[in-house]
Amino acid sequence: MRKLLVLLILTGLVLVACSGSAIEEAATVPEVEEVATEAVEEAAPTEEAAPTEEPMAEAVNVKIGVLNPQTGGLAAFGAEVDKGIQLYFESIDYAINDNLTIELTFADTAASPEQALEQARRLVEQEEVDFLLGIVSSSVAVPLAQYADEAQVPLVVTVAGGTPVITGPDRSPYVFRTSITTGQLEPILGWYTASELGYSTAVVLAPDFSAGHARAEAFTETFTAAGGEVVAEIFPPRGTTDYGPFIGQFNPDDVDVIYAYFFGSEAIAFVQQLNEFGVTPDKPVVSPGFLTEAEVLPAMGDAALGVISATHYAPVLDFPANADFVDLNSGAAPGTYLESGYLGAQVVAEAIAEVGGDFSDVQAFLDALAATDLASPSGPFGFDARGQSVRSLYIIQVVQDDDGNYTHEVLDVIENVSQDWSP
Amino acid sequence: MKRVLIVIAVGFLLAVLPFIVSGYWLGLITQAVILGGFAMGLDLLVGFARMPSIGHSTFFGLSGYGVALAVTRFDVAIWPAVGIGLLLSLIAALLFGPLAVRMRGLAFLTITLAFGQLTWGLTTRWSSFTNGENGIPGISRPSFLWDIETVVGYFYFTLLIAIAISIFIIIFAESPVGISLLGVRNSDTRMSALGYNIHSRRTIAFVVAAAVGAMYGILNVFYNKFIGPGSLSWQLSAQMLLSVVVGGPVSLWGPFLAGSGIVILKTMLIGTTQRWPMVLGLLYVVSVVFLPGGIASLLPKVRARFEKMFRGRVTE
Repeated sequence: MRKLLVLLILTGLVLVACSGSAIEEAATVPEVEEVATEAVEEAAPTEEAAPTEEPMAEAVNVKIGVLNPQTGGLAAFGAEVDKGIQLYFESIDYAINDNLTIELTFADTAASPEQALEQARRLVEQEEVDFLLGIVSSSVAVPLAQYADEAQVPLVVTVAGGTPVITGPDRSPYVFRTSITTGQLEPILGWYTASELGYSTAVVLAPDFSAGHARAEAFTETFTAAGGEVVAEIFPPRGTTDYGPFIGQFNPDDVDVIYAYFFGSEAIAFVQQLNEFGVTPDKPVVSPGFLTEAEVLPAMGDAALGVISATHYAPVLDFPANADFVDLNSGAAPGTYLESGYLGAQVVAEAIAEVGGDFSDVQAFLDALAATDLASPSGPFGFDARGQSVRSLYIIQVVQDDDGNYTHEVLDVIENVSQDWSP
Repeated sequence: MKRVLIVIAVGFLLAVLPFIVSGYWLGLITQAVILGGFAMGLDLLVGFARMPSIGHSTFFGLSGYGVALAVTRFDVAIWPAVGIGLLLSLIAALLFGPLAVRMRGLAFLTITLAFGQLTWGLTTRWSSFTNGENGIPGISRPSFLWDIETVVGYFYFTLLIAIAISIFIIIFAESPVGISLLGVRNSDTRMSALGYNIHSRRTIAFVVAAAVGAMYGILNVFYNKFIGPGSLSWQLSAQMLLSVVVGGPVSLWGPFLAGSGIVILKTMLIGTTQRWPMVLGLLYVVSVVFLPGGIASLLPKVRARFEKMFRGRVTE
């Protein structure tokens, strides 16, 4: 019986180890908090250096609570968003002006709603942050939006787009979302595939979890409304490595186009196997941008050539702000999660500057956010009346440039896409 | 009886907390009491009956889902919804219990995991009804003798119910049924020869532990005003099982202390390091290696040390 207990403990340890395994990836954000405080300290001397101009101005320090998953299954994405946020604030030396500094306090949601709530309470009530920024997982977004409303703390969501409700008709005035919702991508892609690209039959493939089903459904709806027909919907489980059995479930001759939503390593495996089975390059593939993120293109190689994606950001976009952003990222092509963090930071920094870092009147900060009009790396950016971002959607295609590198080419731009978009 | 008095005394001691600590800490302690109490209930199953369950969060989560679904989907008033939540957990326990108690050791562990995954799968996949992975927000707290919307009010509410449940657990543990569980644990063949129905004893332990879990599940859903599949996850079950082992099985107070301690420790650790799962894991290892009997095994040692010191002085 004693042995059994030992066995139990061992299983327990394995659990703990499992939940911790993703920290390796999160570790790419080194000593997060130290960086923030150091930067604030660095900014302090400049304050003293220019005292004569505004002798009455008091030094203000704005504290931002950043809530992203640092452990668990979404840790890699959380690390990218954290990095994007830091990238922006580092570029302005964690200071809006001489008297207005920014301090970041990071917390780990582990993509669990309960833990995220506990950490949000800690940030707001214990660390006394002025507002919350971040959130990758949609399941965390809804309870946190509810918390933000009750605690009357502004919440700026940078990624989670699977829950339209937080910027829906019953939304809280304290909640804003800089990322796009599912409704700002798939419905447009569905319509575009049928009307503009002119394909009439499609097969839909997406991972078997709530976002996969939601996206597949959203694509199907506008695709069929525009005259298309979905001949098969296939949902491989999360973490599938061999897509052969799923690709074999449809006859490529029966379809004009393949819609696929996969991300990360699953995207690489899927795109490569689609090519090995001879489905591509004969049959075109349309997808949300996650399938052909800049980071995964080299791993996919020629298999990805020709894949068409709808995305809110791509490194090739020709905007001055994007050139700055790519420079800051040491010239490497930034992924969409990095851009999400960077954009979120840029948006809140503008609003902080607008109110002069004064959070005694939260409404003024919310008004400043609502009035955001920004030239972001992904083009013109603003909010609609319900705090949801209004951005451009880009139709891009994977191509090979003259040096043999895999990159994207912008085929089309659909401007001012709001959550209420209709063709 | 002595232990009932201790529970009441500890309850009174905790009741002064709102005058000492900040609102944030009070909220965290409320959460700690909920999970600590849940671990204490699990001790009846894991410690007394030695049935290591890794699916006990099923009952914690099901009662919460029962309340949330009754309120949001069927517009049931809150107090009747609480009844529905408890009933749902009880039905599940009566369904799973008699099947599971036929297994021993690893087989029992596996079948409870299977039952747990069954309900977890149901809540994550039946999106149209349960909202899937996004969970159900917007559950308001019921009206009570005093206002439990505030942090302080809810702390007292939780404390009151936790004291009541703890007294019930102690009375149960000291009753003939509770003591016969220890007999079943030590030698079920002998107990069987003495005329005890082993399966029914084990089923009773299973259902009582489930009922305790269900009640804390209700406190949890009102605390968070939200329920998601995380409340039914096997990770939560494992955390509770670890709490019992680290706290010291059969002591009841040990698992309570460990269960609540882990909540506070985890929240604090996340604030200081990104590698909190590693620190937590190391602590588990250290506590199991150096304290195989759990935290509760410290008490007799400390007592012996004191008595020795005392006796030493007297003889001098």
